[in-house]
Amino acid sequence: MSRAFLGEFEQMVLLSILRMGTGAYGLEVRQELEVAADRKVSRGGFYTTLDRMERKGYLTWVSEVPDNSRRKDRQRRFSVTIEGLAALKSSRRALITLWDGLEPMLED
Amino acid sequence: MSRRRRGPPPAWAQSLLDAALPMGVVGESIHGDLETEYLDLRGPNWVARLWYSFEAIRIALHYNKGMGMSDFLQDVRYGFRMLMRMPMVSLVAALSLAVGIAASTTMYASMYGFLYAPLPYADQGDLQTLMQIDRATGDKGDISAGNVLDLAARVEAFENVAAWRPVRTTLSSLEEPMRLLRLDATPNVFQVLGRQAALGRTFSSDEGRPGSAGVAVMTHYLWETVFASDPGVVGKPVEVAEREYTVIGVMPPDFEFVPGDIGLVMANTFEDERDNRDGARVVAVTKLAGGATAEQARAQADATWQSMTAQYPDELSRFTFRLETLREQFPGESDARLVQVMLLVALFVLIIAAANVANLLLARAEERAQEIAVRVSLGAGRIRLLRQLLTESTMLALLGGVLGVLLAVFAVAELAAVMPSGIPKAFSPRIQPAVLFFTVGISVGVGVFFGLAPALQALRPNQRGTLSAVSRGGTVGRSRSRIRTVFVVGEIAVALALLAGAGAMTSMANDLVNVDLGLRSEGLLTFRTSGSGERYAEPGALAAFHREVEQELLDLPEVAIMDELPRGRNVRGPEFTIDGREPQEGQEFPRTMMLSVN
Repeated sequence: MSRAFLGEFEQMVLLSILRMGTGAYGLEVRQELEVAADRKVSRGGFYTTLDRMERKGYLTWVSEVPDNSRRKDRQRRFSVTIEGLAALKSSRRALITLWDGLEPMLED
Repeated sequence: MSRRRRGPPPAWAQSLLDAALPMGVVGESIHGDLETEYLDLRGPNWVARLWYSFEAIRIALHYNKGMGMSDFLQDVRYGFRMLMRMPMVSLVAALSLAVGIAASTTMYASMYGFLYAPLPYADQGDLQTLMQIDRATGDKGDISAGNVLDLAARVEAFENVAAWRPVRTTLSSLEEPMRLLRLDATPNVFQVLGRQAALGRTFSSDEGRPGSAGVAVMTHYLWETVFASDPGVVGKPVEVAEREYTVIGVMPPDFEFVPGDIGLVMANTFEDERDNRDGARVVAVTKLAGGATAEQARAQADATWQSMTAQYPDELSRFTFRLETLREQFPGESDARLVQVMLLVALFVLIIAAANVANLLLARAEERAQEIAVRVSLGAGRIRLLRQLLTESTMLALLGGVLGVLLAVFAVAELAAVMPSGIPKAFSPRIQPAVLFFTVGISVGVGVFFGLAPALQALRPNQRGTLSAVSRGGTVGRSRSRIRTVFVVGEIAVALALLAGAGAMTSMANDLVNVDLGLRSEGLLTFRTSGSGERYAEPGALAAFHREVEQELLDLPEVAIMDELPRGRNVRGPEFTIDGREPQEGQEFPRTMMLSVN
């Protein structure tokens, strides 16, 4: 079991990539994050988080020019690694454990 | 539709982003993301460009949070090595900047002394001058003694009011009489200005009344230049305008009035001018009472002035009253503007020098293109290289600044030596902390501003590819040559403006020196005669003296007599009117010059 825990923003980024399936390009991931999590995401913070998680081995990317894109430059298509998935699961388990029994207190 | 119309993002923001982001596909894709969002943005172009610039700065800041002192020191060390690699080029560039920085520093030192240096008086912030303003012309001037005495008595916010008037007179107790500028001043003058005598004492409050014994305080200027710094001068008599005064004290060297060549200060209460409300003026300075603000004093003084105007409408209805800080009085507006213009001219010279150096740096950037390409390919971050290049140009400018200050020390000393004696020493230019702060500021500004274009050029994104792309030139070469053209055109434009200004000033100075007076002045000498003092106090005595002089001189055929030199400074003839063209209410009467000649 992975001992690593993810920060809230890191979890959101990884989850957004997973939700995007195979076409997780940077711009789309950020837009998904903004829509799904309903929060404004700073571009600088977003890209440096991607870089950091890549260094940690939680995600990886391939460079390609998308077929059906109006853009003709190379883009990074992101995917979550096995380590990233494990870290997500580990964080989720920890949160569920902590939430357990507290639901009545925290219900609206 | 809006995408087609959208222009490119600001080039500088693109360069900044290029410099800040990691190389390769990481940087390219972030760049591409931002550009896509920019193109999709709704709204006018300028809003989109502003948005792009703002976001580029934010991303650049995120990517460069961790740079610290060690990076900076490394940049400085590397910059020093680079400057030393081509010492002659560095020296020529630094000397070129030094000339511009020296000119700017010298002019700033002059301006600072002239406009901001504190006067040698205590509690300057509490000192205000009383001004009389002509309603019709707006002319601001000194105030008549009668008004000063009234205001001093009635305005509670004035703790103490001192008044003085410079008078050109004759010091006749020396072996040879000498012309001298003396100050007739109220006995409280030194108390208001907060200064004590260096030797002896200043006036007591009962001195200076009409009929009392004459006492004088000597300035350090006269004590040093005429009395050879003799400490025994205190208590000795001096004869001024044929009246004897006892010297009671000598002021310290840093104490000066404006003008700075006042020799003696005589106590005078101006009681005999109590009824003078629109005649001869005095400089009046007040110290505000403890707790009174300038606004309160102004309000009280304005109200008092209005009641005085109601009391003396014939004399005062032409004038309004104003209270100003003492420093606002010196120098006058036109002199202040002149030194500001001179500083601006010096800054233009600096801009020309800096543009030259920027061109030199551009040329050097081409020589270093391979080095930079190698460093980029080895993984050096572009923002790091940008900082490195800017550190180099700033170090070069600071070297220019150091050399410039050395040159300015000589220039300022020369300038201070040729200042007219009437200008107080407090106003003399000198290199002081504020001036050095200015020099460091302009040096760093020049280094960063004029180093930015060559540095960004050296790091153009097109260059990050291969070494061969750099050496082939192409887009990069064209872009550089465009920037060089901008620098050269800018330099020529500024140089032309300066040349035109210098030409106009030279021609004006020439005209002033060689003005055609309508007479042949070669071989002519002039002298003045004047009489002052008690001997001429009786009505008609001065006229009798002048008649006597005239009689003596008329016997000399080669001497012409006139009451003023043609185009002399003191010619201000009487007012006159032309029938049917009388001036309107508020307009001034025309004047003509009149000369009486034999």
